[in-house]
Amino acid sequence: MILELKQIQKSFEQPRSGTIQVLNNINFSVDAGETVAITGHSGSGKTTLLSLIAGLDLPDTGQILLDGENLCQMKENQLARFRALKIGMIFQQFHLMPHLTARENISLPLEILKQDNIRRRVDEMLEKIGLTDRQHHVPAQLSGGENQRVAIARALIITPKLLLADEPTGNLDIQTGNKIAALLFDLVEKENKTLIMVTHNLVLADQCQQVWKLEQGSLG
Amino acid sequence: MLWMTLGVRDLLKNKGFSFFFVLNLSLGLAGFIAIHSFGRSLDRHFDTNLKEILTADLVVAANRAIAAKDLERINSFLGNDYTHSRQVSFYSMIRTTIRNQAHTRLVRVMAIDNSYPLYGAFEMAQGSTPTDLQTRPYVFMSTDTAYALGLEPGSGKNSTLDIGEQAFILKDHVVSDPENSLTSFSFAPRIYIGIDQLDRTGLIRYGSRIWVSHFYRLAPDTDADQISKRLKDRFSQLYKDQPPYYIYTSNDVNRRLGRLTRYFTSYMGLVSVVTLFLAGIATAYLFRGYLNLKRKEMAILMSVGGSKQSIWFYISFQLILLGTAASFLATLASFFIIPAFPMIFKGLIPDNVILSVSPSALALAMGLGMAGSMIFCLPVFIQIFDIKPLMLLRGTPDTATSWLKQVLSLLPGVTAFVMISIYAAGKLKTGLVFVGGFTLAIGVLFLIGQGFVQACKRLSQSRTPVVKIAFRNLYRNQWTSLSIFVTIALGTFLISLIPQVQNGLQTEIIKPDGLKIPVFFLVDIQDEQKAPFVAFMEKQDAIISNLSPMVRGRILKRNNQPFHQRSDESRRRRGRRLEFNFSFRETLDVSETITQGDPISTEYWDWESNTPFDISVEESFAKENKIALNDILEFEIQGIPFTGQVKNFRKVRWNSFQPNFFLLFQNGVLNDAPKTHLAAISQVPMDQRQQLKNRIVDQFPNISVIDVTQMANTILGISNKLSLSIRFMAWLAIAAGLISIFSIARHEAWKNRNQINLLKVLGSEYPAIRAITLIEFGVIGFAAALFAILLSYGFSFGISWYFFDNLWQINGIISILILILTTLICMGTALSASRKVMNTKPIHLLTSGT
Repeated sequence: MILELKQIQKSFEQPRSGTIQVLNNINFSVDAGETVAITGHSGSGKTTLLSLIAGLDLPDTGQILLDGENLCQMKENQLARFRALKIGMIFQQFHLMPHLTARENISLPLEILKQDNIRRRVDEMLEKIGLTDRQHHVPAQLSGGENQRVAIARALIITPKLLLADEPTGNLDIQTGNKIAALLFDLVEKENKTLIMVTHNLVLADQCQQVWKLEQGSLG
Repeated sequence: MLWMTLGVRDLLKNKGFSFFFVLNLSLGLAGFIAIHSFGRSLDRHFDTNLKEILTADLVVAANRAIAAKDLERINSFLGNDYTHSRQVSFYSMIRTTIRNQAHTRLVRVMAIDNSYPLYGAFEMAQGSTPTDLQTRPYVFMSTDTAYALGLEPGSGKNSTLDIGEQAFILKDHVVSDPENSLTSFSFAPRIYIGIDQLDRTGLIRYGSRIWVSHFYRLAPDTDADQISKRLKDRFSQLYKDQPPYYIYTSNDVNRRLGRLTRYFTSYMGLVSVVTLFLAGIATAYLFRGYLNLKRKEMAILMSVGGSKQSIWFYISFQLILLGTAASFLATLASFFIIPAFPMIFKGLIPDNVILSVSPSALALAMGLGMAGSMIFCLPVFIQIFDIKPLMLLRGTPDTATSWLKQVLSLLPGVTAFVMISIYAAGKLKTGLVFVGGFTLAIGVLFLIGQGFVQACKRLSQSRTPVVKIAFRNLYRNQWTSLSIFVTIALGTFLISLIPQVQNGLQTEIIKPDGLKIPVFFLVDIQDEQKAPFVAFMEKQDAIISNLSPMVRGRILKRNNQPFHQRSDESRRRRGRRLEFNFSFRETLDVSETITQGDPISTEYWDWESNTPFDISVEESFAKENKIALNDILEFEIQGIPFTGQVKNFRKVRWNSFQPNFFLLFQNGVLNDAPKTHLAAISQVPMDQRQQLKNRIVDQFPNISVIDVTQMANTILGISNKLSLSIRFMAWLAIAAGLISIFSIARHEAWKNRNQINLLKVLGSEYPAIRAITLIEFGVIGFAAALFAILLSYGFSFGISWYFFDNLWQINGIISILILILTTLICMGTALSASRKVMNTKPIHLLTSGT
């Protein structure tokens, strides 16, 4: 088991409407190499759940155990380091550094973590995502699909234990979305990664081994 | 290294931001260096002028020979590196017999040694030097004095005059003498003899009224004022608060010049602080915008493993890099620009001023550039710690920075600002007043800004779509609108402050309107000569003004306390002075204004009455002697006691060169006292001056005719230089301010591009978009500038009242110009940005979110 969530509760204070319970007693576990899709309506708490798993936010109560370590007990800097080493993230909006080239964006996490063989590992990753010939272009010069490929590569380059994706094809047309999904699942399978994906896209969700539906803060 | 590389790459990518950031900061810093160096150069220039007027760095003088022990004491304070000169002066009647006709005349004999003057020089008609005066009984005098005495230079009969028991020979004519009347106004023409010849005159005996001066030229960079203070303290201790010596430096050289240069120093401080503050506002504003744009990138970096400390370092490095670039640029520019000022601004800055870059200003500017950008931007900078990668998922901004953090983040900037203000102003109190004033201004502008936003809400009800959209934008983005309003208003406020202060100051410095600068100053007109003299002058081609009676007397008591025995600081400084000149006049001269109290009674004072007569006191005299309104002063004039009451304080514009007095009495008090008269003569054509002088001397031999042209030229020359400099610095501050406003407006207009693009996508045509943009930026620019200018009137009045003795005058034309320029800059930059957006394809809107 790579990830385990125990009795997770999360609420937000709203200035006018008071406390809103977003997640209510969430319990689940994911095994290594598994692919999981979390679906649900807008406002059902999908993104909040993903942010808790990523260690970007903390639950009100409950435990999140990733690779045997409780994220809720880590200090902020400790959490940042842990996240950098063990979690890869892919966003709907790509969120690439605009002034860096595709190659530089991919190598950035390795450089931050001061890892070895950066050049070789980036070359291999560029080869895998098929962007070797576009490696020196900045995001503004790349298409949406290409940007998302760079984002996937950046997430995978650190060989994370867990890959989190927030609507990875949400910003792309169907055809490009399908290609990106295929690439993502292919890489996850080849690299034997665990993937948790938040998506509205049921076709995409169906490609995962497990599909969980989040309704009114509870997993169905 | 990674973060540094990232930082540099990022700055290179954001060329526009980097360029304007560096430009703004370097302009502010260059302005600071330029103004500070300019001010320091002028200070040096005026200091040299004042030293030349004083002829030394330090003078110790007394109305008797200075004791040898005291001279040793003085020397012990000066160290080893100084030069010394001695002078003895006294009034004496001299006698000539030319063509069997005897002439006698009162002159001021100046006995000088070889070293005199220590600064400046004699300009002699035939090139003689003071050395010539020591070995033989020679004398120097001006052509006018020689004419009055019927003397000609040379060795003939017509060259000899008797001073006491010794016959002297007129050796040469003085064309220009170093002692040009500013330090010791002469009631008689000056003639120079050698100090070694003094004993032969037999005039220096016990009880003789002499004036002995010891001049000292100190090593460069010696603090003469500090030595002066220590000497005064020492002699005050030795002589129990009654030191027999006058000690003064170039700063004390002249009442009017001292005041003018003090005004100038305070003004220079104000302008340099304002310029730096303007640059700081624009820099912090640009950085705020930059950091807002960078929030997402920082969140991305955090999401891929960057710690907050690394990101803090990354941004700090960028700031330091930009600040350093700005400092170097400013330093480089100032090295080229400052020496070129006299050429570039010919006619705008005084001639003969050697401008050099001030090392202290350079060091401060470098420090400010490198660390200052961090300090100025700290309130924005601390927001980095509140950025969380969570925003990448939620797409909403992070939690706001707490108020406490924001307030704490302001502290280093405020502290730095206070320190710089104190440094630039040269005084703790002045610096603190500047800072307090600016803080208050920010508060007031913030409140006005809130009112402005509310007004926009009302105006957004308009039925005209374009107006409605424009005002709705301003209202709905109220925090953005408020911050633009306050920033532009603060910039305009600072820009507008300077010309208002400048106007009043300049009016004081230049000669009073409608006043004729006199050519001759007449002394010793006897009471019985008054009528014949006026009748004589009516026939001459000249104007006589301010024929003023003068009575000498003593001030005995102030509110029943002995006037001359008080041991306050001002008395120590000035030494003991017992006799003063008093006068009375029906109406005040144009050079005089009552600043406090009521005019003195015009009724003839009744000698039999027990009520004290009214007195008008010159305000600096009152301040120096701690005289308050309604104080009772007791006098002794010709052995008769009088009692008066202070009715008002009067400001005298001493650069009017009119006969003016510290104390004016009510009509009737002095009318029958033995008196002489003073007068000024003006509007004498250049070619007729000598003839008129000769005619006066022929007709009234006892009247001393002092040519004040040289003195007037010296003072007016310095006044004009100060006036020019003040105007130049005001324009420099306005230019720096307008560039800052341009940067802010440009940044805001650029931020608006998405909205413009959206309007374009939704089908708006360019004229409508242009109108919305112009209304938005025009209204905010105009309103901010208008309220800022109005506020600046109040503040400039306060500053003028506090620092510049109430010298305040509205400069309406400059205000209108600033209002128009600020509005146009806001509209123009916004329009140019909107046009740029109009030329970009709408697809940019869709792709810019990468």
